[in-house]
Amino acid sequence: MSLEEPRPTDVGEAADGTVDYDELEALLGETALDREDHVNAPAFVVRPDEVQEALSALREEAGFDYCSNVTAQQYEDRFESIYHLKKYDDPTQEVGVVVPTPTDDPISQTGEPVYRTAEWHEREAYDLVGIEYEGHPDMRRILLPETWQGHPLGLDYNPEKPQVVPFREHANPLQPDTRGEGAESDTMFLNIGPHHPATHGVLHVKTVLDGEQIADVEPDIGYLHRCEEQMCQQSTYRHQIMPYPDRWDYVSAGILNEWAYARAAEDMADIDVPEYAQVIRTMSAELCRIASHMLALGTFALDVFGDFTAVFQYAFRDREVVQNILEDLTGQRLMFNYLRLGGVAWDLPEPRSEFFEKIRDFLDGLPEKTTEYHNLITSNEIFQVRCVDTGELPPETAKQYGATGPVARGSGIDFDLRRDDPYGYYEELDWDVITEDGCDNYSRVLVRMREVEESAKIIEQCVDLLAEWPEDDREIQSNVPRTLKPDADTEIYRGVEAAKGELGIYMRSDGTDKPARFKIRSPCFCNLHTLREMSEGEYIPDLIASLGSLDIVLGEVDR
Amino acid sequence: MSNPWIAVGALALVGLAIPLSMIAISSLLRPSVPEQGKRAVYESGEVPTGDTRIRFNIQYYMVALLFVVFDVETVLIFPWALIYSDAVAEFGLGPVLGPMLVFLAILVIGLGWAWRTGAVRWVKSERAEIKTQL
Amino acid sequence: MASALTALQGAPLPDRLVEVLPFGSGPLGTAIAALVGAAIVGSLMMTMTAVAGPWAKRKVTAAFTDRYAVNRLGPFGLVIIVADAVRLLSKELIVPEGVDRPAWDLAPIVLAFSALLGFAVIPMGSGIHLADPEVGLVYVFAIASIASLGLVMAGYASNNKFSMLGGLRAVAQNLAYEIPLILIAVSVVLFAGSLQMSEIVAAQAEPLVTVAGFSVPTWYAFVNPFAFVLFVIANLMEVGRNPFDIPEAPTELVAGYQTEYSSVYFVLIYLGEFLHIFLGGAVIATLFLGGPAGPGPASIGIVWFIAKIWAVYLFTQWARSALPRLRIDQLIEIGWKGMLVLALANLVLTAVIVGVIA
Repeated sequence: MSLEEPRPTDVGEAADGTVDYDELEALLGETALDREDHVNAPAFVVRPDEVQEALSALREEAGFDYCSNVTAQQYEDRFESIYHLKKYDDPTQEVGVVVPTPTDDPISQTGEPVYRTAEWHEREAYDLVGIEYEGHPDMRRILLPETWQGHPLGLDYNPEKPQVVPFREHANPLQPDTRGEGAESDTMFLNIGPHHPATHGVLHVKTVLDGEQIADVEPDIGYLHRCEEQMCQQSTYRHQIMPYPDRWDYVSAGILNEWAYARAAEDMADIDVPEYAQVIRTMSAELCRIASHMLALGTFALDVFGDFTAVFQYAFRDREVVQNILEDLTGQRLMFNYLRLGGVAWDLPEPRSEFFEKIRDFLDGLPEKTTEYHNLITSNEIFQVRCVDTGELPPETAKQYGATGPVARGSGIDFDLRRDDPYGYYEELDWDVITEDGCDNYSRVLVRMREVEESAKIIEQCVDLLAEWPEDDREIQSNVPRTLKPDADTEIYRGVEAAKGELGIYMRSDGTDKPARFKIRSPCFCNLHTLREMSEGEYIPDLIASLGSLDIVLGEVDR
Repeated sequence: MSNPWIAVGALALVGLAIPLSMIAISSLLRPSVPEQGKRAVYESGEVPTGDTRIRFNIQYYMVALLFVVFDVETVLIFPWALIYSDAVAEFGLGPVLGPMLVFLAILVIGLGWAWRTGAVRWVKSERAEIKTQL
Repeated sequence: MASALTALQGAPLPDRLVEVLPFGSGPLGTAIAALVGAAIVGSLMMTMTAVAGPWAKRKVTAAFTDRYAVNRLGPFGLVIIVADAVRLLSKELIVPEGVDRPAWDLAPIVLAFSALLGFAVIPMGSGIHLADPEVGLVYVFAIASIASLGLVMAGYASNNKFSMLGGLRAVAQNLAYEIPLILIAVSVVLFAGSLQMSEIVAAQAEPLVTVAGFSVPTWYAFVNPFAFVLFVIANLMEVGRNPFDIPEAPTELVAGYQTEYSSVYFVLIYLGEFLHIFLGGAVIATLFLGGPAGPGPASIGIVWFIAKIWAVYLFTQWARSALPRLRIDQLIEIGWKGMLVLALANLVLTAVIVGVIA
């Protein structure tokens, strides 16, 4: 699909680029039983045995090629799965597909044949909520151990019940295991991780090797599952949830994550954010993005280079400068907790001129450092031999898997929520979305390195704006009620462009001051799902490099 | 001048004595706390599946065969190189260099043939390749 | 220069020790002199390894990455060498389940032993030259390649999949570099006309050109820089340092063939690695850098020799800090389709040039 050609309008798309939901309802015809209104977009209610029909109509006819999330939840009287659909070309065009299933027989048709990404989302729904998906190729638990009893987000879950988790060997999916004399196996099942130098945390990659090549690979996640969704469901909207997002993607992307919650909650409760606070948010978020991309670059270099080399330390040296700036601003280096609903926690540190000077110094030095990285890394021939044309992820596959962020942009998908679904102050600023067409590990690295430069452009403009901002007009926080109680059954799904891609939050209120359902759409979770496509048939070193180029953070994958 | 291999033998003794004495010193110093758990073979903290010593797919098998051939032939070059300067002085360039060039040409033709037939490379695993096409 | 030559070509160390030591020149005296000489060479190498392993490697890497590294124990942190030796030797030796016992125990010894044995024929200057057999060069290559056997033993015996992969990669790597390495060495033999190490060194003593009273010797690195570069690369493959640390590959195979080794066995493997780097440096210095030759009297030859070895060592550490690792299949391609072809071309060209000059 060429990005240059003017896109023919899809069914249900009005001339002004908005969605005509009546037309969509007509398209779905009998399949759509009802229409629900969510804050972000209307959703159609579909019978559990007609899921694929509805989804493929929306995908093929109406052009919703991006399944950003699948949320499952249990009501008193029913289970419900919600497919949040968007378009890669214009993510403001959204639609939901709601699939209710009865409590005593929670079986729903799988959406996996239409959107590959639904495979993992549905496994998670099965694992945590207990809905079963008929026709799903691999209906197993994903986050919890396979022997776990009960579904923790279901209403009848007994958390007191003791659980037994045996420590056993895993099965080779290709051949039966044999031991000792006369062993017949000629493939090797190798556990890479959870305790391995290159898995970026506690990721377990089950690989089957034929020689040096990967015959089968399956990421096994959940080692860092910390019940973040449940914790958010037990916290109040106004203050208690905000510290948690820092702990999802904990490698310096904190403010980007906080913004995801802030955006969702502000849209849900209709809270305004003063312009001045928006600029501060934009600036601090981009600082986080630079810090995060520096870490991604450093660790990727570590994966390809081998030892703790100069590149890793250089990247960390530059990240350190950003960390210092963020520390001046927020008082924290890791868990910033800086954003508040309706604004930010406090104004820029005094003396302001010194703070701006510090940021400008950093930005002035950045081009030189970028050149240094290009000299040291991307122009190295060995690096190119290792990274070009390895870990290939064609754009169509990337879309199937719901890949976002640098992973999608490295596959030539021109998708960035900062521009396509604008929030904050991005719309007013002058910057570009970076894409690379290589679809390989090399492109993903290049995208990150160039995005750092774009972020620097954004920060520079923000600093200029903030420096000139009239003193009486520096409003950092709008008026927000002490206790937030959105109307019962308000539902919203909102995403922001975090460092790794679209970080989305689904919330449903039940009229109290705590969300009834809080679902995190983690970009790392979806990006990691593509690993199989990228690595099968390649060599072990390429698997490691591809994993590094996905830039996953297990805190966000497992939540 | 005495036989140089005596000194080489002496270094062999020293070369054995150093590791062995280190092992001896270490065995005096180190603790021994036998326990089943820590004897487990390391595989990223998981229980290993299947055997380590399997029918491993040696993807460089043809290269290894070629290596044997080429390695033997490099040995043949050594005596020639050794007497080369003197021989050229005595018999002239042609008769000394010519035969070796023919010999090397045969080697190069062999290498070229192996290269063309695809023997000089890492043989792709069919099992893994089929998976990617699916 | 003439006096320096005679000192360089002086008798091997044991022969002169026989004169000094009070045991006569009978079989006993010869044996004792040989042992003393071997002990001198052995301890010299062990000292260098001790400095290189726990201290210099850290300092050099730190310098490349803007850090300090060890600086607490003693001047420049040098006492860390003692501390590390005690720490490593006093660790518990854990024998994993299912290891192939004799092979598993032998592998570290083979690694350390083979690297040390190579130094027997290296003329280090200042009279430190243990033995000078006529086939010195072939001996060095023969001994040095035993190390690959050690790697395979370690990899196969460990009963660990990472080790197994590492051991098999070590074999593949061996296939890639061995022939180019030897073919380039043959081109040096074409110049020197001898396999004897002392002869090769002596052949490099002639001045190549004299510029403003400053004479450039006929070190083969100057005479044939092409062969020198190829040899340094092939040597880097042989010692298995970045970008060719493929059998070890910390981010892929954890530690490759040495994953299951602890305590003194780990020390021995580590020791063998460093000895191997130094042996590689010694071969490069002897074949291409004039051995112990350098300005000043011949009696300080050992200083120059050690400086050259350390230069090679620093080169490996620089590569370690700056270069990404190749993939094993790419290494095979480079070894056979690049290095081998270039090495053959180098051999033919050298033969033609030497023939025309002679």
